[in-house]
Amino acid sequence: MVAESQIGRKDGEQRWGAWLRVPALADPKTRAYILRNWSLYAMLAPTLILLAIFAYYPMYGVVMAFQNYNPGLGFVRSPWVGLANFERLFASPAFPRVIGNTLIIAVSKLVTGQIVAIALALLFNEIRHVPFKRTMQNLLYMPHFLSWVVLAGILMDILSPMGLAGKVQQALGMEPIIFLGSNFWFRPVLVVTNLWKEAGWSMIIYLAALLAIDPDLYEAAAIDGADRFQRIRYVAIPGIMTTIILLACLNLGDVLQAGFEQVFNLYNPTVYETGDIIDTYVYRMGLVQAQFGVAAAAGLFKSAIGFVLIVISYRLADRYAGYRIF
Amino acid sequence: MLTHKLRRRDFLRLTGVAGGAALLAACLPPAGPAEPAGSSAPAVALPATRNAEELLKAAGVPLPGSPNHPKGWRTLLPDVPEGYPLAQRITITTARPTDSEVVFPPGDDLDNNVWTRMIATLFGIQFVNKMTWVEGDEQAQKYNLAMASNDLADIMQDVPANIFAQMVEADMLLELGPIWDQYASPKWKDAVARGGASAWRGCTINGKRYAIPHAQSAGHDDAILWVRKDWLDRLGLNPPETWQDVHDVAVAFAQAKLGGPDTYGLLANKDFRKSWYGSLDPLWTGYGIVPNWTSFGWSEDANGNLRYDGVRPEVKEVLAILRQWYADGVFRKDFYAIGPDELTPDLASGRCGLQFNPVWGANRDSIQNTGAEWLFLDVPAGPKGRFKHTDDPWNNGRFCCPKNFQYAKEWIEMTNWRIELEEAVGTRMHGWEGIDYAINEQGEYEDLDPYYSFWTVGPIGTRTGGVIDPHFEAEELNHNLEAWGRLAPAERDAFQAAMFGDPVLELRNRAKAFILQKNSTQGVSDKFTGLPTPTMLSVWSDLIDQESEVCLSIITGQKSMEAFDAYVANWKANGGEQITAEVNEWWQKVK
Repeated sequence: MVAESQIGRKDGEQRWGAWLRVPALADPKTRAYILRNWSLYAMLAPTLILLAIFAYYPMYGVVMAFQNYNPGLGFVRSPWVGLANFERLFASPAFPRVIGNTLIIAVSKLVTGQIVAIALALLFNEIRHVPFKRTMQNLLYMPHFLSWVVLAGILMDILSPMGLAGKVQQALGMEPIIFLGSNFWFRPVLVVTNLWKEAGWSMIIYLAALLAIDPDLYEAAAIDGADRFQRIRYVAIPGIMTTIILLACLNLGDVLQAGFEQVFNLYNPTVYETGDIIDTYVYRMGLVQAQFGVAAAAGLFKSAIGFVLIVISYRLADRYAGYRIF
Repeated sequence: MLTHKLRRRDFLRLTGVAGGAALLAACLPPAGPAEPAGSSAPAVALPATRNAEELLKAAGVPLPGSPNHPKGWRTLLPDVPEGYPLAQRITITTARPTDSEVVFPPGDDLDNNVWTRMIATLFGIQFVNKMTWVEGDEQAQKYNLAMASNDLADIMQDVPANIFAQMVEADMLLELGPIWDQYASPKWKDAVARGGASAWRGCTINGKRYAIPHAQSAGHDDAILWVRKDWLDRLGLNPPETWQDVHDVAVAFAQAKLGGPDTYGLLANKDFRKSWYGSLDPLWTGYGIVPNWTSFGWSEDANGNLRYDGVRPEVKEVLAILRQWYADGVFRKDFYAIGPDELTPDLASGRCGLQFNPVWGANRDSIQNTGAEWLFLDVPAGPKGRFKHTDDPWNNGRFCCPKNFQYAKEWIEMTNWRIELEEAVGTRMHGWEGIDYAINEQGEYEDLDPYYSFWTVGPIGTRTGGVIDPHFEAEELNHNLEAWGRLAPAERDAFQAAMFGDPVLELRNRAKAFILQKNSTQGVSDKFTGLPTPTMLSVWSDLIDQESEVCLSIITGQKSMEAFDAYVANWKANGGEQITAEVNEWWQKVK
C-alpha cells in the first residue's frame, strides 16, 4: 500500500492509470521503480497471498446461492436452480421482519457504541492519576476478549428472575422483569450488553486521537480563561472531529451486522418478533435444515448490500474526513 | 430432531452411565488393566480354535468378567465364527460419537483399548477412528466436510437423514442391503423383521437399502412423573393422580417455598412439546396431540390419512391449561427463555418438586440430590387416556459404508458375534474388572470412574446409544429382576447384589422396569419418519418458528388465545396444506 500510494503521489493520476493497465509494466520507469523498492513489495506479498487464499478464493462458493448444493456432488456437479434460492428467501413471510430487526439492532448498537466510546474517551482524557486511568482502562476493555457464548451464560444467570437482576427488583418491591423473554426489553438488553462488552475497546481509538492533540492548544485555551468543560467543548472535540466522522462513515458498512453470536446465544422463540436477525434466521433455515443454497443466497444478499454501503461510506469518508485509500 | 437426540445422548453420558451400568444390567464396557497384549501378536500364531476364551488367553488379552473372585462371575464369550481370526489382519475405519469426558488408562486410547484388542485378537480386525463427534452440530458439520472432500470412513454411524440422502444422490454409498441379507445372523434378522416396515424406512432410498438400521432401546426417552416425596409429606399432600392434582401440588410446593425463595412446581423449558429434560409431553398426549422434539408430530385420522397435530383444535385446550399453570406459578417464570441443558442447577439446588423425565434424566441430579427423596408415578390421564411420547425405536439412526468398502462381510459377521455376546440374556457381559468396575473388600460391586463402555468405543453402538434389538433391554431387565430376585441374598454375586441392595439403584431399576412395561400401551410416536418433503424444505423452519413463537407467547400471556387461530389459518395458507398432501403421498407408499 505504501509503495502504491507513493507512486500515486509521485507521478500523479496518469501514472495510476498506467499502473492499472498491465502492459504499462513495460514502461521502464515503472519497472525500475518496482525493482528499486522490491523489498517493500516482498513485505506486502504475504498479506496479499493470505488475502487471496482466505478472502478471494472462498468467494467461488457464492455459486452455491444458485445451486441446489449437495456437498457430495460439489460445486461442479450440484444442480443449478437459477434464482430459486433467492425467491424462497424473499417469499418467506419472516424475511422483512428479520431485515427490520437487523437494521434496528445494528444501527442502535453503532450509534450508542460510538457515543459512549467518545464520552468515555473524553472522560478518561481528563483523568490525571495515571495508575487509576490505566487500571480502569484495562477493566473496561477486558470484556471485549470474552466470547459471547460465555457471556450469554453469565447474562442469562444475572438477568433471570432468580438471578441478580430479579433479586434487586424484588428488593425494590417490583415484579421481576423477564428481560430475555420480553419483546420490549430484548433489544435494549442487546444494546446495553454490547456496550458493556465493546465500549472500552472502541474508546481506545478516540483516546489515541485525543493524545495527538497539541497540548499547547489546551494551555492556550486555559490562559484565555477556558474552564475544563470549555476546553473539552472547544479543543478536544474539534480535535477529534475528523476521527469521529471517519469512524461514523466507515461504520456504515456494518449496518447489517447485528451480531449473530450475541443474539443467537440470548434469544428464544418468544422474542423472534424483535430479536430475530438475518444471521440467526439463516442459521435456522440454512444450516439446521442443511439448505446450503438458501443460506448462501442470504449471505450473498447481505454482502451485496454491505458492498454498496461500503462504497457509500468510503465516498462519505472522503468528502467529510478527507480519508481515502485510492 | 437431530440436535436434540444427540444432546440427549451427551447428557446421558455426562450424568447417567456411570451409575446406570448396574441398573441397565450390563453396559458392556470394555476394559481391563492396561497391558500390551493382542495387538502385537500376529493372529496366525494363535492356536487353531474358535473358542474365544482360549484365543484371548493365548494372546494374553484380559477376559471380561471376574471368574476368579468369590463374588465375581464368568462372562460367556460365544465362539468366533468360522474363518476368524483372519490370517491377514484388516483395518476398518469408523465415524461415530464419543464422549469428551471419557478417560482411558495410561497407554490406551480410542483406537487401542481392551475392547479393540479383544476384537483384534478374536477377529483380526483393527478398528481405527477416522472421525468422532461429541454433539449434533459437530456431527453434521463433520459429515458434510467428509462428504465434500470425498473422504468417508468405512463405517459411518448415524449419518443424519438429509446428509444420507445427499450421499446417495452423489452415488457415494455401498448398497448394504443384499450383503446384509447374505451374512447377517438369523438373530439379527429376526430383530429387524420384528420392526416391520419401519425398520428399513430410514435406510431405503428408491427401493435400495443403502444403510443398516441402528435402533434405539424401546422406551429409552419415555417420561414418567417424579415427585419430591419428602415435600409431599411435609405438606401432608397425596401423590398427584390427575392433571388437576399436578397443578395443585405444584402450586402448593411453590407457595410453601420448600426449596427456598425461588421454589417452583414443575420442571419445564422452552422445548415445550417433548423435551429430553423436563418434558411436558404427557399432557399433550393425554389430550390426543402427538408432540415431538422440535415440532408437533403427525397422527393418523379416522380415514387413515396423516394430519399435523400442531394445528388441531386440541392444541388450544392444552395451551389454555399451560397458560393458567404459568399464571399460577407452576413453572419457573422464565422457563421459555432457557433450554433443557440449563435446568440441572434447579434440581441440584432443590428448587423444583415435580418433573417428567426418563430414568436417566432423573438420575444424579434428582434422586441423588442431598436430602431429596423422589417418588415415581405413572403419567396422569388426560381426556383421551394415559399416554406419552415415545420414539419409534427404528427412527434412530443408520450405519452406512462408502461404495468402495471391501469388508462389509467381516463387519457384519463380527456384529453377529457381538449380538450373541451383548444382546443375549445370561452372557453376563458387564465389562472388565479394574476398568469398568471393581469389587471392593466387602465384596461389593462398584462402578468405576473413569469408565468407558461399548457405545463409547465400539464401532457399533449398543445399549444406551443404540441397539440391534429394541426390546432386548426390557427382556434382560425383567429376566434379571425375576431370576436374580429369586436368589437368596447370600447367593448373589457382587453385580447381582448391587441390583437389589442399593436404594437408589433399586428405585431406578423399578422405574426403568415400569417405563418399559408401559411403553407399548402408552407410547405414541410421530408417524412421519420420512425425509423432509420439497415444501417442507422451503417453509417448514418458518412454520415451526411461528408455532414456537405463538405457543410460548400464549402460555406466557404475551399473546391472546385467539393468536392461535390466526396462526393455524396462516399455517394452512403458507405451505401447511401442501405439506400435508406431500406427507400423505409418502404415507400411502409406506404404510
